Amino acid sequence: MHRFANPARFLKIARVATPIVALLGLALTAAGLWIGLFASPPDYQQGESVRIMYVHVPAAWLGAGGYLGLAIASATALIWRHPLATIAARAIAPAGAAFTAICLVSGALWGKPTWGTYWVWDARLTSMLVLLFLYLGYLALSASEAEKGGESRAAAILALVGVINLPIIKYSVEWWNTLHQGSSISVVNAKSSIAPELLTPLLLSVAGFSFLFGAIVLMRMRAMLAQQRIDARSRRLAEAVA
Amino acid sequence: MTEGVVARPDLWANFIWPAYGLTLVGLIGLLVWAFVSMRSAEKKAEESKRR
Repeated sequence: MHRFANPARFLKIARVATPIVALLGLALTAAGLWIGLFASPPDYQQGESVRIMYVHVPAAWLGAGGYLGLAIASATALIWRHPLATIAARAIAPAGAAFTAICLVSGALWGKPTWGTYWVWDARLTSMLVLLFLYLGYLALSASEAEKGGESRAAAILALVGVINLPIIKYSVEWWNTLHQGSSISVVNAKSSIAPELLTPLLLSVAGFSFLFGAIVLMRMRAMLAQQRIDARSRRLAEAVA
Repeated sequence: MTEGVVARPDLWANFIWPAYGLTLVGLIGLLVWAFVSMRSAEKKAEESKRR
């Protein structure tokens, strides 16, 4: 990992990887959503509303997974002060917040025909809403620290404290009697109770959304590194003039 | 095949189209924002290097 913490080396790799990752993301997402909408059958219980799963589940996984990435990058920035760690954390946060918002909105739209309501204060829904607030808190704090020229240390600490919410999200459907259904896929045991006709578009969407998430993070990191170069040159110029 | 599906009232009644529409607007909007901000910052960095 240390090898890639060098911004120049990272940029060299990112310039090649960004278009590949973005195109893979677009192609896999288009395939997943197309099959999910037009080629997969309705669910025997949920009917047509199951098709919302193909956008809701990948968004939920990336919202939570993105937060884990944000916390790891923040811990790396706090402990080892890697030059790229803070930038990675700042790049992950808006993408993670957007995916969490997509998860909440699509979940609400699934809830209305299925449960008869857009929202209930269920443990899974509430913990996902808390996740969105954690992302927004991180974004506000890191933007304010960046404005003052700081290293986002308070924002990094907030990101680490917020990790406690991840097991709450994961196990909320087991610890409490929730309206939200339990897990249908076990990544650890590589098992699923979903029929293959429905699982294929879901996995394609998960892969597509993941690549899109990666592409957004890479582009944001490149933008922030370019901004750092501009700021550094402006500072050197100002010093030379003075 | 797709025309029939798009017009199907059960897909509207089950909020499939609003869910997909909002998701795609969000994803594409995020991608475009990330791309434009990257291109603009890299262009400015290149210009400041030349100066």
